Amino acid sequence: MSSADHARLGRRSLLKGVLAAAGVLAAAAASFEVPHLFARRYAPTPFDDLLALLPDRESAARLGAAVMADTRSSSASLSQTLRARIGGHSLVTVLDSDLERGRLAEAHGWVLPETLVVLCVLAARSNG
Amino acid sequence: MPPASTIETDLAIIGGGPAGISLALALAGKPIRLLMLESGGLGFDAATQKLYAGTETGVHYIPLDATRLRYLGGCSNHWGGWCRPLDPVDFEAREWFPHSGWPFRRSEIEPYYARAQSLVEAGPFIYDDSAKWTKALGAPLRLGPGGLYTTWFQFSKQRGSVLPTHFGERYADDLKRIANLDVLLHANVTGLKLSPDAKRLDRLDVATLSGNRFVVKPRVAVIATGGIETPRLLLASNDVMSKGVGNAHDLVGRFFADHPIPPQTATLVVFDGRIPPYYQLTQTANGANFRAAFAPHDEFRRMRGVPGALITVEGEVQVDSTSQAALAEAAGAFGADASQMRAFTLGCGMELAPDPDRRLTLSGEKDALGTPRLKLAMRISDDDFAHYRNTLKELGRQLLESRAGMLRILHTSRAEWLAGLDWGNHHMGTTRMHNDPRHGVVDANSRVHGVGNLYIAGSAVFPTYGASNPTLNLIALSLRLADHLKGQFR
Repeated sequence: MSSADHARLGRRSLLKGVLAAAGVLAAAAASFEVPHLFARRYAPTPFDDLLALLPDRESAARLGAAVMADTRSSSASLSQTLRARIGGHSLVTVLDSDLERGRLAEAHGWVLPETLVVLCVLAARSNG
Repeated sequence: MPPASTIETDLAIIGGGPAGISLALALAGKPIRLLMLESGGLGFDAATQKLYAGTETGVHYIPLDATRLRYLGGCSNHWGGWCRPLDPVDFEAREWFPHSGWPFRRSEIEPYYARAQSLVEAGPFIYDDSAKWTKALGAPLRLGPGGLYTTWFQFSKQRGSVLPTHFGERYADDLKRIANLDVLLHANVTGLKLSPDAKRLDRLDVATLSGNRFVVKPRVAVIATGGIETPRLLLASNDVMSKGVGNAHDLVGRFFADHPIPPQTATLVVFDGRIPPYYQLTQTANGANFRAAFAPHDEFRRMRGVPGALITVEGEVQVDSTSQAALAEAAGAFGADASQMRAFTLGCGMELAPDPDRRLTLSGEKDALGTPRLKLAMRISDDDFAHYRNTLKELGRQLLESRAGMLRILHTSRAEWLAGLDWGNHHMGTTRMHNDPRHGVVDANSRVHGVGNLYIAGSAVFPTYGASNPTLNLIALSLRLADHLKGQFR
């Protein structure tokens, strides 16, 4: 084996090692990082604490857009009302309370708890 | 009939529809000579049907010669066979529902429902006990506590090619066999002639399209010509009482009602996609045909001021992308699995509030027999739609509360409600029943106020209408009238 052959083998091993390392990194990225990389990023809002309660912010924004024009209150006022209503309770508890009290609203004709519809409006407004 | 002849009889029944035929059957074999006068024959005839033509103004309504049928069997010749008793609350006077209330409770006609059920051939009287017969098909849709519940229709049965019971075809032979009954077909009553003091009916003027005219002198007469023709006959008979028979207080023809059927009022989503078949299709069990619907509880109606309503489940539909977003959000928020969801359009049956200005009056035109034609001023108030919306909203609330599904209301504006509006062909209210002659044309026994021997049978006397189809109820009422008349002839 010539010295040139040794050098060629060394480069080949190095290339394999680099590719293997890249593969591991790619796998790690796929499992941990990629969803975050491609997920929609939202600009921070003063009511992110409320929007975090939504099961699916994209759907909420789409539904909220259907009623946004009918909602005149400011986002600050809506979020203040919601925070007072929600307190430390879970979203589902508050929604059930809405149903029990008949506190309903319509979005695109769907009969929903008012709290959910207001959250959807905030989601739509946060989408700009 | 020889021209210009006079027939004397004990009881003249004017009209051979479900009310008149039920009355005749109930009085069979009694010591009362009966004469039924039916305008039509045994089948449809265009010239006879044309006698019904009139004009309609206001909210779209079916032409007056298309919304009913003028031959033996009357409107049962085109009914759908849907049967359901009125609810107890339908009979109550309610402050929030102007002009509402019957002069008696439902218990007054309850004893007659079983026989009425038998006449419409709808099997055993089961209705809201139907769930026990349909258990194998699955439990009714789960609803949270609240205003609506699953109620049940029964159906007049299919017998061979007849679907459902057409009273003329079904009972023509039975009528022939009644020894104390004569039936005159093609006999149009054109006038009610009162005694000079207007306190009694003296005679009936009768005419045929072939040109014959004769007179019937009954001891008692019952008008059973439906909610449109009955006021026409009363209003047109104005030679003694200038405003028409029974119309001293200008009530005849007012308060006309029907059940509006706006198409596709709402969409129901069932999260798990499982809905028993009896909501969409008629099922047969225990000798009866059933179908489920949603209706407001009486208590809910009293508390929330809600008129009668019935909500049926119709065809499966797809939902748009915004609706999918609503589903994702609601199901997600409530922790429901909507991966198998199915959506259905909802059918509407709604009660109109009594309205004195929804009204039939005589027009200047006359039919082939010289009887003035009718003009209908049709109206629906925004409140009627708003009430029905509130009922739908409550159903939507209950569906979410039970995590069974959700509901979308499709109409908001008046124009949306009126677009493609159809009607039930349920003509009611134009000779309403009330103990006080200032508020009703007939008294609690269906006797025309002020005219001792003239009665009205059928849904024309319904002072409040409910959302149920009228046929079963008007037959029960006719059977009650038959019992009253038996007493009159003793």
